[in-house]
Formats: sequence, structure tokens, C-alpha cells
Amino acid sequence: MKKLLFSVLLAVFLGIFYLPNTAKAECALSSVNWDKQRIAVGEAVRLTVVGSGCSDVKVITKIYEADTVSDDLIKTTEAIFPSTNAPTVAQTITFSSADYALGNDAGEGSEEEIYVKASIVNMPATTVTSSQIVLAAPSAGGCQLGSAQLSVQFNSSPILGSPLHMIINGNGCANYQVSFKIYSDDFMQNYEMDSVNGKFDATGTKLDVIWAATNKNDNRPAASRLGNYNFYFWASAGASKVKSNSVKIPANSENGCVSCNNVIAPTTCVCADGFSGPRGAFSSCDPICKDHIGDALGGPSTKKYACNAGGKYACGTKADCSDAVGCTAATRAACAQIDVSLCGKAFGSSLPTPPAAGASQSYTFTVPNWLKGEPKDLVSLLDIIAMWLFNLAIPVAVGLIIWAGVLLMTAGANPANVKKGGTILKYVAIGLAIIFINKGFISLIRSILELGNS
Amino acid sequence: MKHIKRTIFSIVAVVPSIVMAETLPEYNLTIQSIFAIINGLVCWMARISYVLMVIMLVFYGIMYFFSEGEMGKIVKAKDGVKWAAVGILVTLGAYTIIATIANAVGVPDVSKFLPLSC
Repeated sequence: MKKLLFSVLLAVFLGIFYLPNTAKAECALSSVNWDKQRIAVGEAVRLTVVGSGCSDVKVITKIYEADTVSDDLIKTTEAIFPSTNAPTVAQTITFSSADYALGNDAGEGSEEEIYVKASIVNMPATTVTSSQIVLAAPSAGGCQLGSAQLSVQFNSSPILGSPLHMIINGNGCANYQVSFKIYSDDFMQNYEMDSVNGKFDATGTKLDVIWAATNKNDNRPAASRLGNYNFYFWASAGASKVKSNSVKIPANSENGCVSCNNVIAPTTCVCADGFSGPRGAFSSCDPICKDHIGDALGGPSTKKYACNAGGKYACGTKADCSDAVGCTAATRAACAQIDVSLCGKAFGSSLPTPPAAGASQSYTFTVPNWLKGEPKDLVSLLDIIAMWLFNLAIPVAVGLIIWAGVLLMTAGANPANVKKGGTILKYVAIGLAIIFINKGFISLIRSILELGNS
Repeated sequence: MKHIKRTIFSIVAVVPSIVMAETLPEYNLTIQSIFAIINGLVCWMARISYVLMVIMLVFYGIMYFFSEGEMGKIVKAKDGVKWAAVGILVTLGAYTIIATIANAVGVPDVSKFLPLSC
């Protein structure tokens, strides 16, 4: 009877106390973003939801196709914010032909404009909406191109001669020929700089063509040749055409200098890999930057045209050496292709020979300290462990004291439980005292050993 | 029997497609989350104990009702109320106890880790 009464009361109170605690902490979504402007069917696109105070909150993302009258829902996904109070949650989404068909009404073209609405579960008022991107139709007897990216793999500045990756995604493009036309986006007009051909493999979903940035076909007026090149490309396969983002490359950077994009030579030469040095009087940046050309190696443009200028190689980009400084008409006639790294070196020198197989070479390396806080000795390592235990001990101590209180409360006239609660309290107090003193013991022992001389 | 078979078959056919559509969310368990879990458990314990305080007082009160003047039962109920009061004091005074110990051994600033954020 007593037990029954007790459990009924407990159940009622638990019910009352549980209900108001289901509300989540305040979470506000600020935006939802795509990482691409155009995608093909089957191409992965990353969707990022940004919010604050959203730890562990589940977000529903609904992807719609924009129509003039009513928008069609084509896909619903969900994501959960990590519990580490991170401001974003990302998910990778691919669209199938069936998804495309959901949004495609009669009389619409071969593209869909899609956008996404993200909201917190059960809280429709928190909805945020993304910008629109283009979803290309699945291949109905032809290749459909998705996103196009012009990207640099080198993590410092790209220069003329750097390999740029032209990456395009597509659907149903197996064995399709792709023509890339590279342009420079100038202030008034866009100029075609180069053209390259590529071919999709038998899968037909992704193509990466490396183009070494070059200005060899630069026929822009002289006034436009100062400043930077903003390279971008148009890729066309079959009837489908896509435009890429642009990559900025400084003019006059073919010898590695990224601060030489001006008529006046800079006082400090900044090179492609971040190296910088002062330019000597009446000198160019070429000798300073010649060993700092970043990744502009190994491609077709690592060769330059050079002629003999007073016993040294003078390099240029034109095949007849007309732009190489300091050459005579006679040496220009003997214009020859050499490796970029030889520019400015003594005429007739050649590339250093790589060491022979089996020869010993020296190599320096460091092992990073992977322990957070970078402890350098045993005491600082112990410090970290003590801090760790301290963080753990406080909530455990609070929990144990509460447990002792509960034992006392429910003891009634049962002296065993009263004693148990008291014992727990006593040992928690002792344990806490030891943990609080922690490093104090070390200084105590040290002061005893020093006999209080300090 | 036929119905059961059909139901099972349809469940077997549908379940994998649901499972395929859902991908597991990314979740990194770190030591901080373990602290947070312990912290959460303690907070939960504290809430339960607050409820328990009321329940126990009511329970001993009811015991008093039903004692009907019997001396043994009255003593039992009185003892219960006494120890419940001590227990409530200990539970509500948990932070005070810790702060007192910390102060006694010379920890300069208790507010860095107390009270727990519930």
C-alpha cells in the first residue's frame, strides 16, 4: 500500500516536472547557402545552414523549384547541429532524375531554378531561404553540364605559368568532346586568351583539364595589359554551355613576381610562394623571384624562350625573343627554349642534375607535439591531467552530495541509510579538499625540503 | 496467415529504402561532451531530488495521519521528517558545502566552476 502510494505520487510529480522541460534552448537560423551556382543531376552540392545557439537542434531543409505560380517541393532533407555549439551544419546533396521530374512542369526549359528553405523542427517561424541555383536537366539524349570551377591547387599566389584546374561536372556526358575557351575579364571588354580541348571519360560525370595560365595570345590593346588577368572559361559540350568563376593572376608575373603588375617596378618584390625581398637599384624583380615561382613547374609553360644577353639568359614569352630584354639582333636569331629556372643564369648553364639512385641525401623534419596545450615536461603534463580531473570532479562531487541528501531524506527511521549518507558526505568533503589542494602538495613538499628558506 | 506474410514482405521491402534515404548525422564525441553529459546527469539528479523533497515531506505527513495515535508509528514519522529535513539541507546546500571546502583549503575564486550551469 505504502509502496503503491509512493510510486503514484512519484509518477505524478515526475509528469509535472517533465512537461515544461521539453522546450529547447533559443536557436536562431541566419542563412542557408549553396556552394555552387549550377549543378547537374547526380552532382554533389554542399548545403550549409548557419545559425547561433543551435547545438543538437534538428534542421529540416526543403528544396523547391521556383515557379511563377506555386513552387514545387522536390526534396526534403534534414541535418542536426553538432553539440559543440558550432555555428554551421553542412550536408552534401545530390539530385536524381526523379527529383528533377518532380519540379519539371510542362513547357519548361532544360533547366530548373531551385532554392532551399531551412527551418527548425516544429518551429515554422524560423524559416530562412537560400538564393536560387540552376539544376541542369538530366541527359535526354545529350550531355548536360553542371558546375564549372577554375581552381588553383597551390596555396599561395598563382602566376602566369601556374597550372589551373578547369573542373566541370556533367550528366550523361560519356565520351563527349569539351571545348574550353579561356577569357580574361577586363574592365570594358572580355578577351579570348586561349582555347583547350578535353574529353569526358566513359563515366561522363567529371572532367578536370589542367591549363597552364598563359598570356601568349594576348592581343589586348597596350593600355589593357597592365594590371591583372581575371581568367575564366566557357566550357561547351554538345548543346550545353557553362561559365566558370574567375581567378586573378597578376600581369608580368611570368618570372614569379606578383607585385610587378604595374609600369613602375615595385621597391619590394613579392614572389609567388610568399617570399619577398627588396629590389636592387636599376634591377628587375626577376633575379629575386626566380627561385620562388611556386607551382609554375612541370607544365608546358615551365619552358621559356631565351637569348644571350651579355653572357646571361634573358627570358621572354614570345617565340622570337622579341620581348626578352638586353638581347642583340644576332642573339635573338638564336632564340631557344630553356627551363624557367635557368632564366638570369649564366649563358650555357644547365639544370642541376638530380642525385643518383642510392646516393645519400639529408632531410630535416620535425615531429609536431600533438598534445593540446603542448606540455614540454612531466610536470606540465601532470598539470593538464590535474585540470582534466578537476573538471570531472566538480559535477561528480555535486552529484554525490545530492545523492547523500536523497539517502538522508528517504531514510526515515532507517539508521543504515542515515549512516550511509553521512559517510558519503564525509568522503566527498575529504576528496574535494585533496582535489582543491592538488598542486599545493607539490609546493608544500618543496617548501619543506627548502626548510622555509624562500 | 496470408495477410501476415504480405505485411512482413512489404515491411522488408520498404525498410531498406528508408534506411538508404537517411544518412547518419556527423557527430564528434569529445571529452568536452563527456563533461557535458556528466553535468547533465547531475542537473537531472538535482531536479529529481527537488521533487523528492516535496514527495518525502508529504509521505511522512501521510504516515503521521495514519499513525492513529500509535506511539511506534508516530516516532517513525517524526524520525522520518527529521532526517528528511537534514537531507533537504544537504541537497540544497551542495554548492555551499563545496564552496566552504574550497575556501578552507584556499581556492581563490570559486565562481569559476560553481554553480553548475543547468
